[in-house]
Amino acid sequence: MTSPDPATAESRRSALLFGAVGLLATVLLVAPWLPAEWAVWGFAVAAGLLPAALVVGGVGGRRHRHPIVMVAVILGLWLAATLAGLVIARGGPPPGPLMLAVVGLWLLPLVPVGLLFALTFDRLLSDDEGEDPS
Amino acid sequence: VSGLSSPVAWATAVGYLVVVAGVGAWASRRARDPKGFFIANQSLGLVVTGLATATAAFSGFVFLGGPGLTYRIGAASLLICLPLSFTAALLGWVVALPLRRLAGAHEIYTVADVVALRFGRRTGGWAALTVVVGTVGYLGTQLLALGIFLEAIFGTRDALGPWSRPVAMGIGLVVLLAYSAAGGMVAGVYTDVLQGVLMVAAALAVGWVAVESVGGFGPLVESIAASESLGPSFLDPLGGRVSPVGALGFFFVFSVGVLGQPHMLHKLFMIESPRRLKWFPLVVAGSQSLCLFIWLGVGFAVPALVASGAMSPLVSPDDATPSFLLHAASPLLIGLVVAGVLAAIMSTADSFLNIGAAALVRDLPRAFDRPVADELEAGRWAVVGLGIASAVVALTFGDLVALLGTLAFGTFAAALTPALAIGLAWRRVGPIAAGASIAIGLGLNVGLEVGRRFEWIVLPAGALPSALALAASFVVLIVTTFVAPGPPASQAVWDVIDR
Repeated sequence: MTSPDPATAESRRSALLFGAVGLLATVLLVAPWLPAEWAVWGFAVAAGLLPAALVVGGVGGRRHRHPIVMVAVILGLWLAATLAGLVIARGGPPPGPLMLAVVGLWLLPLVPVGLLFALTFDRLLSDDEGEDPS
Repeated sequence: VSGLSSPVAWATAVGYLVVVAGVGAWASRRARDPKGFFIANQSLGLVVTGLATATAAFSGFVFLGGPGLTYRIGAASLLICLPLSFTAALLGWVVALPLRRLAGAHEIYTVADVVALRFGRRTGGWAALTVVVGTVGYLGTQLLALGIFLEAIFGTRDALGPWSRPVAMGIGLVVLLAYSAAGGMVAGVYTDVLQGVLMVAAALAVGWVAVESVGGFGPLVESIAASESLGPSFLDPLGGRVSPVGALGFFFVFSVGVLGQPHMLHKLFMIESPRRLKWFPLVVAGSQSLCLFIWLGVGFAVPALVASGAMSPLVSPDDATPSFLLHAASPLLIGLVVAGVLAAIMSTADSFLNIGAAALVRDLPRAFDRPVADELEAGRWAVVGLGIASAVVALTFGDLVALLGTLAFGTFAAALTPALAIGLAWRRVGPIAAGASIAIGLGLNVGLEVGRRFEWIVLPAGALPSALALAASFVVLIVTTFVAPGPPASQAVWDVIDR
């Protein structure tokens, strides 16, 4: 049995990954009509994962096992976990939920995401793009 | 915002307007062809591009509307702005390289140019229509805010009566049009740098003073939590002031939706080299995060001050920032904020004047296969015409413009995000899928917002029209792509995207 050629493999990976994006978008579309707790949980998890799924679909479809895919997966899990944490913390003692939102969505990801972007960015450039124009 | 008029505020406003007009005069010599006028000759460095992107995204809403929204709905409003910790990187990972590569290899000046190149000119026409609809809303609300703010600073209401606001708006508009029409995007981005510095300085200073005015962050949250009128739910992002699904909908639209904002994407065409994008997310997210201090500081300090009786309840939530300034700020700080607010309004307005003009004289004529012969000359006149028309519409139909302004971000998000974020990464997406996604996103967002506003449609509790439209647009694009895959993407175009 022979493995599929690279173009076919890329096409299949893209279809699979963007199919997953479609499933997350479907959850977000129908969530408001679901029973209350299902709606909140479905929306929290899908809204956290979808930004990362777009990165995984865009980069991972064309470049197998790219480091950016791992960064995006971690980011998606982090966002989904923070939003799920906000769902669990509802009605908790103040200022717990507020601090969870500020720290989990803003302060903690802010610098690491920018640094990881810069550290992995060169891997997306072609050889001539990597040269200093000056 | 009445009561802001003072010699310092007056001098700050006049000084600010003179300086940006001067930058426009300097830049006019550098916008000699359509490439200079629409994409600043594709010669910008990292910091200029980053600050221009950040300031275009942050309008007067961050200074006035954001704190007002927090006053009204509490911590749920934060789910609009906190995602910016990663949205600039999302831009970089998902769309920045394809957009910049295409702009380097083809004559790409607008987002609609990209859509037309990838999916054909009819689909590009849909993208241009989306830009026009969103521009009317965004530009109209910025001009309305400009008029209201300058009216308060110059104190013209008593002297000029019903002509006060048109005159105040006219003063700001003349300066805005002078630098935007003469210097195009060159003037736009260099004034954005100045505006970005002013916005960060003003937001940091006011945010700090606001939190200190209540005794620090600890006493602030304690007084809100202990208040009968506010209580702990005010501090809980999913705690009841807005339904949890609605609050999470803010997060969804304002995170992923960034990928469809033409006034931000437009800046990516202008950076001199793709490799300059390396530190782009840190510059954009860093400057935007500093601006958020006014949203957080004033947004929570004013309710705490009102709850403790130190401030009177606000007549309108949007008065939160001006009322706080009059309550606690020195004249110098008021002057700094005046400059910051003017900067926030005008940096967004000049971006929309440029992309709106481009849609009218370039994108739409090309969609109908009727390109304009002299796009530079037509672009300058379109900037002037668009500015005057938007001002007249804003003064005449203020409520309609306010409605369009509130739905503009969601319109761009729902219509353009899937086609760009997925269409530039997946070869199988064709013109039918992209066109259907843009049309559904545009139509559904406007239709649901208007229908809900006039009570023609009843949506489930917490269902945001923009979130529904964005999700539907994704689903339509992906399902259509599976059911009816497009013809193979042009290999020449794909070779550029996927170098």
